[in-house]
Amino acid sequence: MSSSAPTSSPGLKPFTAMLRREFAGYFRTPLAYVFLAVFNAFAVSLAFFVGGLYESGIASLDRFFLYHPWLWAFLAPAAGARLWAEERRQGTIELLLTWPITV
Amino acid sequence: MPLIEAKNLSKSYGAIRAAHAVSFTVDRGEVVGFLGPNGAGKSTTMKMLTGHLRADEGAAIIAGFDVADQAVQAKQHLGYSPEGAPAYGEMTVREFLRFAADLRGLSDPAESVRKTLALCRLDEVAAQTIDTLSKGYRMRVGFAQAVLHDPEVLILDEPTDGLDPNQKFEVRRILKEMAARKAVIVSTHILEEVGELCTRVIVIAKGEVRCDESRDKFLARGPDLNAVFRQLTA
Repeated sequence: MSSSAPTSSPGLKPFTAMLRREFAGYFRTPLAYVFLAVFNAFAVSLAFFVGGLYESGIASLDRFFLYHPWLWAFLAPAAGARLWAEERRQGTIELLLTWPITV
Repeated sequence: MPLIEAKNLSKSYGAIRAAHAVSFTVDRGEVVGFLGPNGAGKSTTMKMLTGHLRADEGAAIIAGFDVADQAVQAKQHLGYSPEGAPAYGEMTVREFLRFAADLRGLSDPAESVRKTLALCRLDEVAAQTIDTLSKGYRMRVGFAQAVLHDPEVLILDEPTDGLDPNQKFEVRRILKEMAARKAVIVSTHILEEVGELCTRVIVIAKGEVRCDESRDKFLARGPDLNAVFRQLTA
């Protein structure tokens, strides 16, 4: 075979390359900071205002973590859906789907 | 064994039949010109060959691997540049090629990127972000991404679209340089490219193969290629 064959199994290399690219992509624009700020504001205010962290009088973070699944249920798809939409808009999804990687 | 094999590929979008029982094979050393009017099914056929679209019927075999069942192996032997050469605009040319090399799991990504930059004459813009490049350079980046791993099978969707004559010449030069070792499919609607670039011609219209013959035979059909083309695709 020609030099097109990769060395044995690529292992985690494609995954880390993708992760690095997307992560760097977030911090190239203010978007990462927007997500961080939104997450912070909601995580704290849900715990204090909705969960009543002070009023409970218990030294426990239960009320803080109680609302996290709900927060992530909205923030994670918001971050993920944007990535797919962006791939479609730029047409680069066609590259991803024709490179030798699996979803 | 042919490097590219299309077996009865068919694809419909709802009531629209984009490709119907398209069959052909391409051997090493052949450069096939894929001709057809806009909307004839050229891109659809190429997308089925590259595994981007799943065929409704039929099979696509790349270097002996079925693109549906043995997708990863088939795609390792395939270089594909989609129409318009999409790329991540916010990355520099070097970053983008390095990213592609890492995703492909190449053994020496840095060396592959260096060689490809030189081959496609992209050295001088390697540190520029792709968004800031002229159309000619952007098309060349798409091309570079496709040949990065020196694949046996090369499928290029309108690689010379929108380029000036010098840039077209450049793309043809690179293609000719490596054509002998590969099976290449190039789609175009510029008939003059056939004589300069291709060894064989496949004409597609309304999703069907209308003609599949050697370049010389195609050119002998008549002095006016435009008339020949109109007649074949009517």
